[in-house]
Amino acid sequence: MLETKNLEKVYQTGDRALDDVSVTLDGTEVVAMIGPSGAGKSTFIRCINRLVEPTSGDVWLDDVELTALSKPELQRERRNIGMVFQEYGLVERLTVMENVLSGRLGYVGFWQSLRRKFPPDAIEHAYETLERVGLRGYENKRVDALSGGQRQRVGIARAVLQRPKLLLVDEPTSSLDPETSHAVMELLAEIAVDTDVPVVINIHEVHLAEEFADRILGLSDGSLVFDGPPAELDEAAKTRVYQGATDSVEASRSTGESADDQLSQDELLTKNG
Amino acid sequence: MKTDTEASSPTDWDRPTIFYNEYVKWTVYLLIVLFAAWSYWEIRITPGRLLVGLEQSSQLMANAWPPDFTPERREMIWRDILETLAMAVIATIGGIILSVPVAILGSRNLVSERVFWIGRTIIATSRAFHALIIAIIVVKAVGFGPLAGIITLMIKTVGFFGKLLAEEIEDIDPTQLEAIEATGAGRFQTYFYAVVPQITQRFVALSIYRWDINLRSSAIVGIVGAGGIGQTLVASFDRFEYDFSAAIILVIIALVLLGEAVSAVARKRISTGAAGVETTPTRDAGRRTWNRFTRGQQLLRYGSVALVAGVIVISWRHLEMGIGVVRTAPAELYDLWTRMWPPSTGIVAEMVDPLLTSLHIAILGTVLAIALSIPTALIAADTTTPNRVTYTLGKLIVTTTRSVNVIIWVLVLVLLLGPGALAGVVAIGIRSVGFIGKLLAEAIEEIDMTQVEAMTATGASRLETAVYAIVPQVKPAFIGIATYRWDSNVRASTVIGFVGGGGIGSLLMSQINQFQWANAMTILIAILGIVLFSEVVSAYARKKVM
Ligand SMILES: Nc1ncnc2c1ncn2[C@@H]1O[C@H](COP(=O)(O)OP(=O)(O)OP(=O)(O)O)[C@@H](O)[C@H]1O
Ligand SMILES: [Mg+2]
Repeated sequence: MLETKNLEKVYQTGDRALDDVSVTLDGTEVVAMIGPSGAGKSTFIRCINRLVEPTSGDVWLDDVELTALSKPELQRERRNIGMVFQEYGLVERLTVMENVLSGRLGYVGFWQSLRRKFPPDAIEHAYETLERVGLRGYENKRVDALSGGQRQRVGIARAVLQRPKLLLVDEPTSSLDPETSHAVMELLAEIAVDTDVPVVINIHEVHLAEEFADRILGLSDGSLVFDGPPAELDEAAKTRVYQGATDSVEASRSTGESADDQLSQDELLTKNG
Repeated sequence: MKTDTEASSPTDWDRPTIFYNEYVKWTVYLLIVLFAAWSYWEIRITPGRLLVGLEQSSQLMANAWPPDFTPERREMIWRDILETLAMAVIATIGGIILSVPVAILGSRNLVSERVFWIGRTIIATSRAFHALIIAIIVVKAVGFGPLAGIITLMIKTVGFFGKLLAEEIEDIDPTQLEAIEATGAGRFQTYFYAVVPQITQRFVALSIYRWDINLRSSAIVGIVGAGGIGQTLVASFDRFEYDFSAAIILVIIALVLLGEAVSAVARKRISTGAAGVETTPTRDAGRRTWNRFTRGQQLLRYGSVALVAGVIVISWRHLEMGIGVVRTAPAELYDLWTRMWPPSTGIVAEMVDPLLTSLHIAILGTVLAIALSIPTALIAADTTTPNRVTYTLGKLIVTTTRSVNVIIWVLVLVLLLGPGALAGVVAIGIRSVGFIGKLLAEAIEEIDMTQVEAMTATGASRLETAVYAIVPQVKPAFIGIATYRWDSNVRASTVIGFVGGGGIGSLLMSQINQFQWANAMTILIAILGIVLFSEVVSAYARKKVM
């Protein structure tokens, strides 16, 4: 179970990227987080595993308060949180297998990891996972020789190998074509069911969110403005997420950001239509 | 680019300038010209002196030709060459090992801001001093011989390698780092999984390159007693055995060219080898084992480690150095430091003049080099050279001037022109011709010919075409090359005094020989200041034109 309480992040530049975000995620939910560019989606995900330090507020994973952990404790706890990156975040010059097995780094000693010696069950799990994501036979290819969709699958496999209690996915489809995007989302939804972990997915394409998510969070300018099942995400709700300034209570928005949001709205329309 | 000249009238157009305005621009140019003129005046170059030099050179030629390759001389040279090679190997490997932690300290994306500045200070200091300055100090600390040379080259390697490696580390893709961190991997695991794979290729290429440079340096540090063939070279000059000197110089040129060729081939193989995909067949996919390397690859890897270790051991034994020196050297260097600190102010008045002379030497040497290297580059570039003969001549000039170290040029030119700043200027000029000429020729060969054609097609003359289509394409590269050379010439100008070429070097050497360490420290600080200042200026100039 993941819980954030009054999560807030103000960057050094003064950008208030997250403003009082409190959510609770349970069980095997697939949660899609939507919102225009700059709304704070990535910041939210990164505040959970503290790649970005939240300014205030708490994050709880089961009964561990992540925000209260020391550096070494955090490092140990990160093993329980899988993350899939927007630009894959793979080590390009290593092989597929090394990238997948790097999901176990937190469990093997330094010297072992240096010699690429992983326990047999990890290797077994890696093979299974590669098959699971459709990359059987790719283990010894170097990652920079793969296509975008294949790379994203390697990224997912790495996260799965952590046997995480929570899976964080930051815009898995933003560099993929529509068909591959669909397949990747399908895979993520299946993995959520198979492995029994909640998945948080940041995503731009609202129709993918509606198709695959059990629950949708709408973020606008750092605030949570929508929280509900896809069925409740009607036109009014979408407008609230993507054009917060026009009809919501927060009126204090800079013109630059509004222009940005307008752009995402346009993108959205073309993608849906 | 912005300009303050508002277009008040549409018939009036001025080329925008990268300076604030035209006045600033011309003031800057005027200052440069005035300074160069001042240098010229100070050094007192006259055609007469150069003519005397020419006369002397035929005399010297007669004495030096044929080179003395008699059997006992050959044996001496052979022994020295082996020592030079061994020094280069040990210094390269030791220096690289030391420079890895320094590079990590100097990488903004891996360490905190304060640690970063410590790392960068170490790097900048070791880069600022010419190898011979470091050598002369180390020789006093640990005594004559190859050990001093090795320590010197290691210090220089740390500066060079640390800087380039740190830049490489700062360029790595941060998401790869974050992604490994996010799996819960430890700090060192993150380094080895996310940083090392990204820099390995460049690391190997730089190591080979550095070995090449260390080979050149180890051939000259002997001039101040730090081992290698340089020692024998200086001795031959002192004993007027110019035919032996000629033999040694020829061998050094051959050694340098050989080193360069080996390094070029090796670096090329590395860069092409990495383009392909490394695949390692799994022996038995059914049993679900996985090894990063096959047996053969594993053996090859262990084999190359053993080979490198073997070369080190052989080199070490060749130099007949006990392991004890490693233990005592740091203590001796520390002892020296306590005698140098605090620096004394007594020397300040005395050192101003030679410092200025050093600067003048650097300026005039660079001006001379630029003047000579433009025609050299034009004939050494296959796109602009008139015919095969000029092309060969151009390449020959470039190769011979480059492969002889500036210090050796000074040794020779002091014989021709007498001791003093003039010999230094000409030595720096000649040495830089090869460097600037080579890189400029490459830049000329790389220009986009369609731009030239387009200009010709408008009906422009040859000269106009050159000014409009060739100059703008080559200019950024040229400024970059010239300012880099300026930086190394400033460093060189501080040491040519060691062998009679004028400038601060002779004062520094005399202070060190009289064990006036506090005075020496003051001079070193002044040199550091000048070098860093000139580097800032040239970096600024590069940034403006890029
Ligand atoms: N490292 C940073 N330093 C300063 N400001 C930042 C930083 N990262 C993000 N921001 C700011 O925080 C806000 C939220 O950014 P974030 O990346 O979380 O948005 P996002 O919803 O993920 O956008 P996108 O859909 O474009 O990925 C933006 O205004 C952004 O400019
Ligand atoms: Mg984002």
